[in-house]
Amino acid sequence: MLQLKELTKKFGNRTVVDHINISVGRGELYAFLGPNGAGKTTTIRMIAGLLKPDDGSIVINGFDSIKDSIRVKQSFGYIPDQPFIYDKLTPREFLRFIGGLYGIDPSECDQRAGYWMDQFELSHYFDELIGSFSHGMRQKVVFTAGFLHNPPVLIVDEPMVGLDPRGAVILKKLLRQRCEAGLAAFVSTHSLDVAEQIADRIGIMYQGQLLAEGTMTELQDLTQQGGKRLESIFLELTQARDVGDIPTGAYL
Amino acid sequence: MRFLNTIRSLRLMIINDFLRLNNHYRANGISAVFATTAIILLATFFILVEYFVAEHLFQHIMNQVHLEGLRYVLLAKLLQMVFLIFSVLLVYSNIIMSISSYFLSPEIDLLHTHPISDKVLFIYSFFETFIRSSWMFIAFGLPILLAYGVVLNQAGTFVSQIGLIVIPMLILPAALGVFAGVLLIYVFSPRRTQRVFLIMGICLAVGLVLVFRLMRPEQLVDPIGVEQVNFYLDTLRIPSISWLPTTWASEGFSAYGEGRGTANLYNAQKLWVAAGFSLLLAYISFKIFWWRARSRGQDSDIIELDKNDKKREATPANHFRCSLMYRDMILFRRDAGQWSQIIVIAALVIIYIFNFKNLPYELYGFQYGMSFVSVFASGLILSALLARFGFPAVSMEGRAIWILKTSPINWRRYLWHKYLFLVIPALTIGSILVLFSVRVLDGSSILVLKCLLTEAAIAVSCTGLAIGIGARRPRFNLNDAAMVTVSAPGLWYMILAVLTICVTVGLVVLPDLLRYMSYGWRWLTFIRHADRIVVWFIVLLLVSCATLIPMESGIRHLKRMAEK
Repeated sequence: MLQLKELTKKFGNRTVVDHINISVGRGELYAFLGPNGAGKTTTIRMIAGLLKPDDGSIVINGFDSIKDSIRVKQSFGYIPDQPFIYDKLTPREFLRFIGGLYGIDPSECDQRAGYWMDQFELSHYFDELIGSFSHGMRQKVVFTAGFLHNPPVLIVDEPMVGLDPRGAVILKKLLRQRCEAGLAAFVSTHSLDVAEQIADRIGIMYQGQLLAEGTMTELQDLTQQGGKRLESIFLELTQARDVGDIPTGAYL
Repeated sequence: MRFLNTIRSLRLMIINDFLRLNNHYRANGISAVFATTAIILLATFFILVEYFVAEHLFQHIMNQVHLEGLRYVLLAKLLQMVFLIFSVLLVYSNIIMSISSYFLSPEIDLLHTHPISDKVLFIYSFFETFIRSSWMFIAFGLPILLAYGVVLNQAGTFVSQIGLIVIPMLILPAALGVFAGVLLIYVFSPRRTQRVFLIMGICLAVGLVLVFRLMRPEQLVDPIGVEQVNFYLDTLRIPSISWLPTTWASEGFSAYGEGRGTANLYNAQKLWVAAGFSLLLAYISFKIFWWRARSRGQDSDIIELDKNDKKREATPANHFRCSLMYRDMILFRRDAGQWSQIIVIAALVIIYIFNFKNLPYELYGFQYGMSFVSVFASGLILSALLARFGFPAVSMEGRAIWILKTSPINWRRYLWHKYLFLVIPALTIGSILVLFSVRVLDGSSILVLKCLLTEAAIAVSCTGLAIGIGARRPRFNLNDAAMVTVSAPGLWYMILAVLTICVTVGLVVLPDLLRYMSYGWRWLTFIRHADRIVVWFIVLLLVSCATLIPMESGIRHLKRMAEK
């Protein structure tokens, strides 16, 4: 459903994303990990059509993102890490607006919006102004907007930011359910626990390159850390300094 | 010492804007320097024009030797007008700025979470309010006062008057603005800021209309024409209440101009005492109310929906354009900032209509000419309106632009939707202004039709220019999208809009002008019967170019932006 081929992006002389190849199949949840500045958000922004790749291609649902951008955009839902939405609209108005952009019938749109708002336990806030919402509530509204047109592919940048523990559990459950129903989800996250719990496959990016990818077992085999948790694998792959070496008490 | 260290740190925050500007130059290179130079040149031009007009007016009054002592009275009245107008604007501007500096600014959050005393917070925010509001007077008020000093041969000591009179005259509205701003936010729940802004907009609108009409500036056109001097002075009716600081300021300046040192110092003294007292008042209101008002003001940009709004279940059509229209209308309706500005604009339109009605037409010539002057003036009003509401139309998507960028939308339809959303109000406002003006002049039906068609051509072209050029350089990271107009593309829009208005009016008037002139010069007879259709065809061509070229350019840019 989602294929990145030799995807490359440079900012000036710096190669931020360096010829990466990723493929996410139908019903698969792919967790995209990496330390700060690894190139995760740049990759996500290229997939979502917010940045143009310097090289390589992105194919979503069989359509090329450059040649057929409108169909590609019909095929995915995008949830950014910063949910900037209209403060002066209510979720009902916002979701109707989003529905209009995708050509969804208003009554159908209201039904779908109602369903997802209910899933996220936000039904009571359907007619309140978004401006009064917390970060987590906005994130849930954006998720609802992302699911509204039943996209076959979902692209998510940091899904758990701002969500309360209950919201996080609900989201993980919903993501899994949708993937079992055929959704291909590409999720960038810093939360190794989340990746470990819900991902079918995990990709680890470092300095613009895809260091490793595979299922949890495959990654354990790769690093010869059988039975170890993702955290150890991640630290080993990204060559992080042993946290025990970090000096403490210099100014204390 | 601790206080001084804190103030030293705050310096960095105050110069933050300048550092940001510096980074902007570094990032945008020569084009940013060019844009700034163009804006500075244009502003300098306006300031110089203002200075020379003021000097000419003051000189004209001083040359009326037969008026003797009355000349000084007239000059004092003029100064009173200047101080009164600027004071009304300064108080309004300071209230808005104080709400922004004391309640909405992100810096205030940062400062408030650090061990900084209330006094420092007050001084920092006051300074910010003062600078952001007072530059207008410094730029546009000082040239008038300087012209006054030059005419009265007192320019050499003019600097002393800045310290004596101008500075307290600026501190006073700033302190009153802070006082009123803090109280307003305290009294009205910040959730109702929308209403506060509306009330203030209405107050300013009413205030401006009153100030303009009370002063009757048209009477200054021909002072000698009025037979009775007492009657003349009475007709000026400028409020000169002795306890008004504007009166002290104008009397102080008059005394300075006439070389009456004691009176000058006495009025300056009164101003400084008033400024000090108002500062104290502002600080006391800050100490008592700010923290309580602020506690309620954490989400002051949020408005409450009324019950009807919540129940409203109007279902929009699922058409893309309707969807955008639906969103734009709701956002516009709920944006307090837009409404308060509309009220101010409405007040200016009323002033325009009122003054047009009161102009001494016999001084300016024939009905035909005045009708097209009104078309030209209405065109300028429209272009200014479009600079405020049309030019930032795309930038107003703000940080939520990602929604459109990641949606399957057609950018051509998007931009034309924006065009349609604005061209209808532009046509309506333009038609009302022209209809009113030409009707006042008792113009014939043909003249009315001609003026209406010309105004329609201007409205259609200027909307295209505003939306198209605005779409070429949108800025989505501004807190106030309207600020995008203050840029090089904004300047280009204004230049092109004024040019389009001049050329359109010129083209329509040309055949009649040639006809008129051909009565005197026989060699022009061959074009006497030039077909007007040709002229209207050229106007149509101009309208098409002024609309389609910027719109197409804007669409191309949006497509590129979406694909980059």
